[in-house]
Amino acid sequence: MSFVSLHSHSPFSFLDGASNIEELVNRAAELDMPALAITDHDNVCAAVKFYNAAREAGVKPIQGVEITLEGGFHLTLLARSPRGYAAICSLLTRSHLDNPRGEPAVAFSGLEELKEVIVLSGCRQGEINQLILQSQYRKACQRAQEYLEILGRENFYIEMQGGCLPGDSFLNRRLLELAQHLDIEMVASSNVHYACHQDFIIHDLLTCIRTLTRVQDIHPRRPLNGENYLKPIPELKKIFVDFPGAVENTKRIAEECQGVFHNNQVHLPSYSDRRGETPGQMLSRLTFEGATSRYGRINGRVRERLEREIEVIEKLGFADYFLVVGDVARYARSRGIRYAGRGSAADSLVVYCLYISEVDSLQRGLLFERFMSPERKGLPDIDIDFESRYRDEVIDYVYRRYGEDRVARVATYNTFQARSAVRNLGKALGFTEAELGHIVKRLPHTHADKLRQVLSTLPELKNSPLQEGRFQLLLEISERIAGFPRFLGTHLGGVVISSVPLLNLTPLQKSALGPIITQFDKDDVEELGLAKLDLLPLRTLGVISDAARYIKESGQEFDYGTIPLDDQSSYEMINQGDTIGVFQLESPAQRSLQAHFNARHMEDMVASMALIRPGPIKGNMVEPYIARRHGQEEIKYLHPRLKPILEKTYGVVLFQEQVIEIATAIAGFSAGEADRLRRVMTHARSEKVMQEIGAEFIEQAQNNGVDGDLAREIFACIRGYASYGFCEAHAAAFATTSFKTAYMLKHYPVQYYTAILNNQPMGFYPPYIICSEAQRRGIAILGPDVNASDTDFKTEGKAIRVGLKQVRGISCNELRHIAEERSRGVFVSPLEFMERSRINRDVMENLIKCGALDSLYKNRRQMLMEVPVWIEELQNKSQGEQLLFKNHPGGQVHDFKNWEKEAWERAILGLDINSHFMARMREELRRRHIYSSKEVKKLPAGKMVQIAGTLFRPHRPPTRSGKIVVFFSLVDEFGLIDVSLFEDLYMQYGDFIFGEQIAPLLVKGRIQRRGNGVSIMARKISFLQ
Amino acid sequence: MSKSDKLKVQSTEFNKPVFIEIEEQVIKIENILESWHDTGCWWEGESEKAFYRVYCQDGGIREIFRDLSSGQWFLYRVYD
Repeated sequence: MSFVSLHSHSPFSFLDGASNIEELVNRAAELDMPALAITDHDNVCAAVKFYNAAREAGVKPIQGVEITLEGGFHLTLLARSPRGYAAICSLLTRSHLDNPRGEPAVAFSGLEELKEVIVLSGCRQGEINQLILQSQYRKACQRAQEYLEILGRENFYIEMQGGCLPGDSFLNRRLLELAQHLDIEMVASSNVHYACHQDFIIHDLLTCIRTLTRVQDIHPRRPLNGENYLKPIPELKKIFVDFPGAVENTKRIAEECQGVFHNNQVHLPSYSDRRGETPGQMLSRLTFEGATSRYGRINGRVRERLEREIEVIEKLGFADYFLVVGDVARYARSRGIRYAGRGSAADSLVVYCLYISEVDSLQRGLLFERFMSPERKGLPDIDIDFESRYRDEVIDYVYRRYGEDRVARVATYNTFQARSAVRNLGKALGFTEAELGHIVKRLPHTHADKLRQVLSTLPELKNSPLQEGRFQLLLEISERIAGFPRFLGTHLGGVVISSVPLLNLTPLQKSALGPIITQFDKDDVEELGLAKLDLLPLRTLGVISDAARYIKESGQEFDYGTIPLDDQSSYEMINQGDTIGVFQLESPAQRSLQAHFNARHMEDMVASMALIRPGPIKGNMVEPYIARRHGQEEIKYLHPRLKPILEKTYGVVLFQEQVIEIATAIAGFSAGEADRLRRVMTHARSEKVMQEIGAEFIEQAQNNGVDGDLAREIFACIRGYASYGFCEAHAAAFATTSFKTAYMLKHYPVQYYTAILNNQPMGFYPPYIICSEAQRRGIAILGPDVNASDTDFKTEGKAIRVGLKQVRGISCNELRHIAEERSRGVFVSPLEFMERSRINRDVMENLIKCGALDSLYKNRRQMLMEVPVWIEELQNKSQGEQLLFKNHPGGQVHDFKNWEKEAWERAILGLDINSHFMARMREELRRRHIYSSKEVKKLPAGKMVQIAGTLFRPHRPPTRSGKIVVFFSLVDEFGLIDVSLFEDLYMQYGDFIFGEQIAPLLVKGRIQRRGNGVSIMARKISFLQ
Repeated sequence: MSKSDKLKVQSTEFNKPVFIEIEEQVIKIENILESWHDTGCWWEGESEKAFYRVYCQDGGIREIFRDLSSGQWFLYRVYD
C-alpha cells in the first residue's frame, strides 16, 4: 500500500506553508511516497522549484492548486497534463484579474473550462464540507451533483481529511454517505502545511502573522492542532480505516497525473514585421545597416565577426529575440529616450550594430562567446537601462507591439530576512512594538538564518535583548522561515515576451504597483522557456538629459555623444577622488581607489568598474593590481600564451572574458567548454564539479603541449581569480557612462549637480551631501523663495536655487497652484501669497520657517505669529467680508536667531543652506584641538588627530581574511572625510557606529594618505560631548 | 484544562479508550462519538492532547483527553 499527498502547501501559500519545498519532497521520499502534489492557495509560484526538487529527490511532481471559489470556498485542482496545467493557469489568471487585487475568486461556471484536471472537493473550507458542517446534507448532495455534472465523474473526487479536528468523524461519515449515494470516488488527504509534526509551531506563528494576531489570541483561522503534516502509512491507515479505497485512490490519481512542463521547450517572441524575410535575413540586414552607420565602411574584420555572430544567433534560434530587443531600442531612440545597454550582451558586435549597446566589442576585443555560444544552454538575456522617467513608456510600447497576452512583468518574491522575521514573529509571539523596534533597528540587513551568527559576532549586538533566553524561540523560528516568501513583488525591469499566450505557461496577476506580473521570478521564467528582457530604470540617464538641457538653456553648446573620452581635466578630477555624484565612481571605496589609481584613459575606467567589487576586494587583488600598474611589482606570465590575454590588466585575471580566453589558449577548450569553465568558477559550484573541470583543463592543456605542473598552476591561478571576475563588457558599458558623467561634473558642475538634485532619490549620497559638495566647489546654494524658486531645483548663474518641492509636506497640487499663480504675477505679501496659492497652514508655516517667504517679509517669527490671523481673514473674505490687506504683518517681535533658522532649514528642507550646524561649534572644537575635514586634508600622514562629524553610511564589506573592517564617513561643514576601523576596535566601539546616533561622532585616529586620498584610521570613537 | 480531573482509563493498543473508572466504578465506553487533537497553549509549554467525546454505558456523555506527553488521562467535561 502506498499513499500520495495530493493536497500540500509550500511556503508559496504565503504564510500558510511552514516547510520549504526541499523539506517537503525529502520527507515524501523518506516516507516512500512515489509522488507529491503541491497545491498552494491561488497560485503555482512553486511549480518550477518543486518540479526540480521533486525530481532530484526521486519523487514524481504533481502540479496543483487550491483555488478560492466565489463565496470563499476552497477546491483542490490537480493537473493531469501540460494541457491541464494550462487550464489551471488560465483559470487562475481570470480569478486574479477579474477581481480586486489580493482577492482572487473563481466563478463556479469557470470550472467548466477545466480540461485534463482532477478536482478534489477540498478541505473544511470546501463548499460541500461547509454545507455538511452546517447540517445541510441535502444541499451538499445537490452541490456535489452539480460539481459532478460540470467536471465529469472521472475528474471529481470527495476529499476525506484526516486533520483530527472536532467534527471530523461526523464530517467524514456524511462524506462517505454522500459519495456512496452519488457514486463518487473518495480520496484521502492530510491537507499538508508542513513536513513534520513539530513544524506545527512555525505554521501557527505564520498564521498569526497572516491574521494579524498574537499567539494568545483566538482566531478561527488558527490551527487547533499539529496534524497537517506528511503522515506515514501506519498513521493514515488508522485515520482512514473506515474509508476503503480513499488511500489507494491517492496512488491511482498520482499515476494519472503527468509532468506539466515540456523540457527544453522555449517560447521566444517572434518579430512579426519582417516583410517576407526570415528572422535571420532580417537580422543580418539590420545589423549590416547598423554596421555601415557605425563604421562608415565595413572592413573584413567587422564582416567576419558579424557573420559569425549572426550564424550562431540563427543556429540557436535567437534571431527573433535580437530583432525584438533591437526594436525596443529603436523605439526609445525614435522617442528621444536615453538608454544604454549593459551586461554581457555588450560582448556582441551585433548588439552594438543594432544600437542596443554603445560598447564596440570588436574594438575592445571582447568575446562574443562570453555572451552566447552554440554549446551553451540557456536563453539570451539582454539588459538595457532607460532614463527612469520614460522607462514605463518603453514597457507600454512592448505591451502594445507584442500583445498584452504575451507580455508581462516578471515577479520577485519578497522573502523573510532577519529584520522582517524578528519583527513579524516577535509580534506574533506577543512582544511589544517598542521592544521589537528597539531590537530590529540595530540588526544588520542580513538573512534570517544568520541571526545567531551576527549576534555572536557583532559588538553592537552584544547587549541586544535577543541574547536573552526569552527570545530563543523567536530566533529559532526566525531562522526556520529564512527566505520564505511573504508576498509577490514586481521585478525592477524584467519583462517576458512570449510567442504563445502567457497564460498557457504562467498565471498572471496584478502587482501592487499596477503592472500585470507572472507568478514566477526571473530564474523560473527562464526555466519555463521564456525570454526575459531587462528594461531597467536608471536615474543617471535622467541626470544626463536634464544636465544637458540646463547647459543648453544657459546658452552653451553641448553634445553628450561627442564628449571626448580623453579629456585630461576630467581625469585629473577623478584622480583627486573628487567624484561625488559621478556614476559608479562616488562610493568611498571608488573615491579612495581613484585617488591613488591615476586613471589616464578609458581602459583604466573599465578596470576601475571591475576592481571595486566584493570579489576583487575580498580577493585582495586591488593592491597588487595597482602595484603592478605603478611598476612597483613585477608582471609575470606563467606561460607566454597568457601575455596577450592578460597584458591589459597587468597579468591579473580581472575579467570573465579572460578566463574563457585562457581556457582556449592553454587547454584548447572550445568556446562552449571555456564558457562552462567560466560559469563553474563564477557561480561557486561544488568542489566536485570544480575538480572535474580542473582535471579536464589539465589533461587538455597537456594534450595542447603545456607541461602538467604548469597547467595545474595556471588552473589554480584562474580559479583563484575567476570566482570574482567581472564581465568586461558590462564594465565597459558602465565605464563610458561613468567617464561622461565625470566630464559633465568637471565642466558643468552647476548644471550637473542641479540635475542630480532633481532626480532624487539616486546614487550614494542624499541631497544634503550633494549640496555640501556643490558648496565646496564654490557653487552657492540659494534658499527657496516663492518668487524665485521653481518646483524643481534650478540653476541661477553659478548658483543652484532650491526648488519648492524640497519643502517638507508640500503637495503637487500646492506646487502647481504656486507656479500657476506666479505666472500671473509675482507675490507681493505673505497674506496675498497664502490667498493665491491656496496652501494649507502647515505648509505655509514650513515655507516661512525655511525662509521661502523672506523676500516678502524679513521677520520669520512675526510671520508665523500672523498665520492664524491671516487664515481668519481669508475665511472672512470667503464669506463676503472685505479682506484687510496689509503689505506686511503688524506688531513687531524679534526674529529667530540665525542658528534657529538654520535648524528649521535643515529640518524642513533636509539641507544646509547658509551654514552647517557644525560650523557653529567650530570655534569651540578648535579650542579642543578637534580638526575639520578640510584641515585634516592638509596634515601629514601618520599624524594623530581628533575629528568630529555626523556619521554617514557605515558598512562592513567582505574581506579576504574574513576579519571585519568598518568604513564610514564623517560629515561636517566642509564635506566628508572617510574613516576606517579594524575589527579589534570595532568590537570596542561598534555601538557608536551601528547603534542609535544621539550626537555627532568624535573620532581620534591617524591620518592616512594614499596618492591624493586622505582618510582616518580610527583608534578611539565616542559621541561629541 | 489544568484543573481537569485525572482519570483511570483502559485503552486499546492505539490508545482508544474502552473503559473509564469514575468513583471506583468501571464504566464501559459504548461509542466514541468524536475525537480530535488539540495542541493547546504550546507557547506556555502546554502539551498536546487527544480528546474523545464518548457515550458511556451509564448513559452519560463525557469528554476525556489523554495528555500525549505524559500519557495521563483526564476527565474534561460531562454533558448533562
